[in-house]
Amino acid sequence: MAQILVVDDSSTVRDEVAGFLKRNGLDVATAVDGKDGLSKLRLDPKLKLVVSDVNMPNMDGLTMAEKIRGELGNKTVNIVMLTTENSPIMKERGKAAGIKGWIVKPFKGDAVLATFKKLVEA
Amino acid sequence: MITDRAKAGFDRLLVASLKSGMPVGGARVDVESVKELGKVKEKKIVILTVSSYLFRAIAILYFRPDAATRAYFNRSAEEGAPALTDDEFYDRVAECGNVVCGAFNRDLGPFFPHVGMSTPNIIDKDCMQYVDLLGCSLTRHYRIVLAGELTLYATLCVADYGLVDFHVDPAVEAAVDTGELEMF
Repeated sequence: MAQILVVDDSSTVRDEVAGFLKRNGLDVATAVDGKDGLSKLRLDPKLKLVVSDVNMPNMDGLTMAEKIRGELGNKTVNIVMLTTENSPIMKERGKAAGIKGWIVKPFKGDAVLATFKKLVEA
Repeated sequence: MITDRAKAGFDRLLVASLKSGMPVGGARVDVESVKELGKVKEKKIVILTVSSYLFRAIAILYFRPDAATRAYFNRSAEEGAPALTDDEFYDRVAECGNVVCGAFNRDLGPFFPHVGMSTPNIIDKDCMQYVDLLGCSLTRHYRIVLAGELTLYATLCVADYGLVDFHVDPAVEAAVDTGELEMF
């Protein structure tokens, strides 16, 4: 059973992030956009951590986060955004949706691995 | 109208973004301005826009899906990894454009709080003949040398909808810690 869901429309980012986390002993599933991420979380509500891009087709990452808390009623999964965006307006919207953290791309696995492990063990 | 110092600011920020966003596998990246792109033979472009109420900036990276370019964008792969498929290669180039424009977008944020960017699109270079229709008042071209051996080109076009004026202090570097997790 996966512990982490990586959501990004770029296969490059999905492969890079999921590959790194798998090599470090974590179970990872992937989704191609917010809509796909929401449906995968609906099927597996025991996921511990969602790592998501913001700007994606079909459904963006912040809308997905709002729907995870609202539509799915999932108040426990940790949500971290991984994005090129650094806008305070977007971060405030993310905080209001209950996201746990924000990473500005590019992804540097070694900088976040320990925290990700804590988040999936919590 | 775009003031001269704003033109210099766009120029400086894009060059910095290309230098920070183009390296793959720790490669060195050199960027210089060029006057013309007459000899560019690349067939494809990745295009992104960064927009505010006052302007629309279009960043274009020209590339060829040839062996050298594919090898560059696969530099970080583990030894023995298979060659990139077409889809994987185009996605890597698009993501590279995304990271470059993401940095450009972030660096414009302090001057234009409502700036936002598009997702990357890969289209044929022939589409560039229509860029003139946008009525851009700033156009800059760049030569990018990757790992000392692969040369690509980029163009920045900016169309203004009002007075665009800002000053980038060359002594002040952007203070964004990329890759670090900011906890809320």
